[in-house]
Amino acid sequence: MSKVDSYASVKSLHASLPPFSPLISVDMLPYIALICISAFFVLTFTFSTLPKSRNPLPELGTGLLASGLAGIGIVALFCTVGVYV
Amino acid sequence: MLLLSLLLPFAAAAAPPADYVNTAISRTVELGGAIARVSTQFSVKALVDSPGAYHLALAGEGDAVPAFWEVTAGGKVLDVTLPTSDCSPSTVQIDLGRLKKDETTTIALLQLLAHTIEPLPKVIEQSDPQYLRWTTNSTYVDSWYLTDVERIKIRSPTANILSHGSVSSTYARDNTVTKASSTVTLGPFTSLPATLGGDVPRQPFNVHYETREPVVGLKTLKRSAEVSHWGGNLNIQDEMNLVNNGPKLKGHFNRLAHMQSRFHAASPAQIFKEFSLRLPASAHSAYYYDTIGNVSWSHFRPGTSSKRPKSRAVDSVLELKPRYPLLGGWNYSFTMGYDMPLEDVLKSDGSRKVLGVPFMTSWQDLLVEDAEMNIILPEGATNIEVFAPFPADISRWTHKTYLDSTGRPAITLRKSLCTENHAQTVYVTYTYSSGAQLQKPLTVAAVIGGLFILGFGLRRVDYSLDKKTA
Repeated sequence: MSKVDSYASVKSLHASLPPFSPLISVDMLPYIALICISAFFVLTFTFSTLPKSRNPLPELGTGLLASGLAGIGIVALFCTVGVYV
Repeated sequence: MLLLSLLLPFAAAAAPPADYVNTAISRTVELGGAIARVSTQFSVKALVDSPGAYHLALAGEGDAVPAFWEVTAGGKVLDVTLPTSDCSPSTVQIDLGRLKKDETTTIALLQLLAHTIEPLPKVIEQSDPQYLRWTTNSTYVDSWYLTDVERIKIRSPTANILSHGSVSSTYARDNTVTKASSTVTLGPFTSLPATLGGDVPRQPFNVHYETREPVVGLKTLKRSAEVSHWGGNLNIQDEMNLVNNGPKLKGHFNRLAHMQSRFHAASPAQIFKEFSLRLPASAHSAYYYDTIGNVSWSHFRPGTSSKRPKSRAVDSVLELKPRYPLLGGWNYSFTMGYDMPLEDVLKSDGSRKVLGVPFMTSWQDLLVEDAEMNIILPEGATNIEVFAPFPADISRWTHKTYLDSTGRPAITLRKSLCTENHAQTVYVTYTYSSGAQLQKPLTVAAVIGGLFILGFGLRRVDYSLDKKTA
């Protein structure tokens, strides 16, 4: 991006650049929230039913996946209900 | 002709060289309720070859700098900064280029004057007409140079002008003051010496006139602009402290008379009942509430974006009614806000972003005593630079809200005595990478992951009271 050092230059730069587009389409956020949070609940239930064993990989793997889905799902849920985070 | 403008501190005692003469000055003063709008055209002639800068006074000796001012030459607005020193009178030096002797040029000065209009009488009955008085400390246009011809027109909003001041006939051939309908004309004045730095005594002048619109102002305006990259949204929220600066009410408020006035052709001028604000075309989800709660007396008319083919942008309109009518001296505090798509204000060049946010909503004939704008950027934004259209106090801080971990960088701009002409765009550039955008979901995931690890550990704790023996 060209160097901006004055109001006039940043004004012309703002007029010339393309508009911002979000990483994920805003229209998809409600569906992403529904899918991710539903999957989070299912994985949490699965986590609770896993047998206790010395090998922690199944539990940690399930927890890790559920956490990741919850992270995305909750952010999408907040945006869906109008709390733009 | 290349026109450059440079503002330098100017000592009050020293007059500039007499390299110019004003061949003609024409001033028009538009009187309103809170703001007096002054437009002045200077026809300037050089008296020598390659004269120095033209010294343009923004105000008279001891007068405050106008709330807003703008210098135009050749149809272009000159890039001029406000005086940094406390010299009086405030003066701008304008470089008019290499003018030849007797060559002429034109300079236009626009000034919006605050606190020059006061209600008179200061206290009136509920149904009385409303009168205001505009006062200026100097009848003539403040100038460092000789003036051949000068004429001043003062326009009142109504034809009912109760009285006006008088002018000395020293520099006038015929009538000094003439009144026609809603216009008071001073002059023409001829062969006027330099009114600044000379011996011309300052003569105050006033116009006492009627206005049929309420005189409102904002004591404080606090705007918050919050950017959300995940939601693709910009939220604008204004907290306003509205005040009726008209004549105060004598006696008690008569609700019955107020309700009956709705059926009359004209309701009392000083009562402020409703107002409309023009919002961006893509604004939506507008809200309006006060300390009691949501105010249902409002109507939002969405605008039309120009993105549709064969259509031009039509602004959205938000019609608001205070919870109670405002009479002179009464206050009303409320909050209004709206959302709009972030793509309309944010431009992107890879990870570098350029945001343009309006400083305030344009409101005709309104004076804002103290305006504050908070721009809240997304969490993780770095390399932040602010570009304001006018000098303002800028400070930075961190704002924490929903799902934040490190907090959101925020910028505050403060300015006093703002008018409708201050409704300009503030630009902010910042860097926001895709990695920074993942900070929020990763934060949530980390918290929930911690709960899972806690659950992993708690599942292995033996809670039984009796130890089972094999």
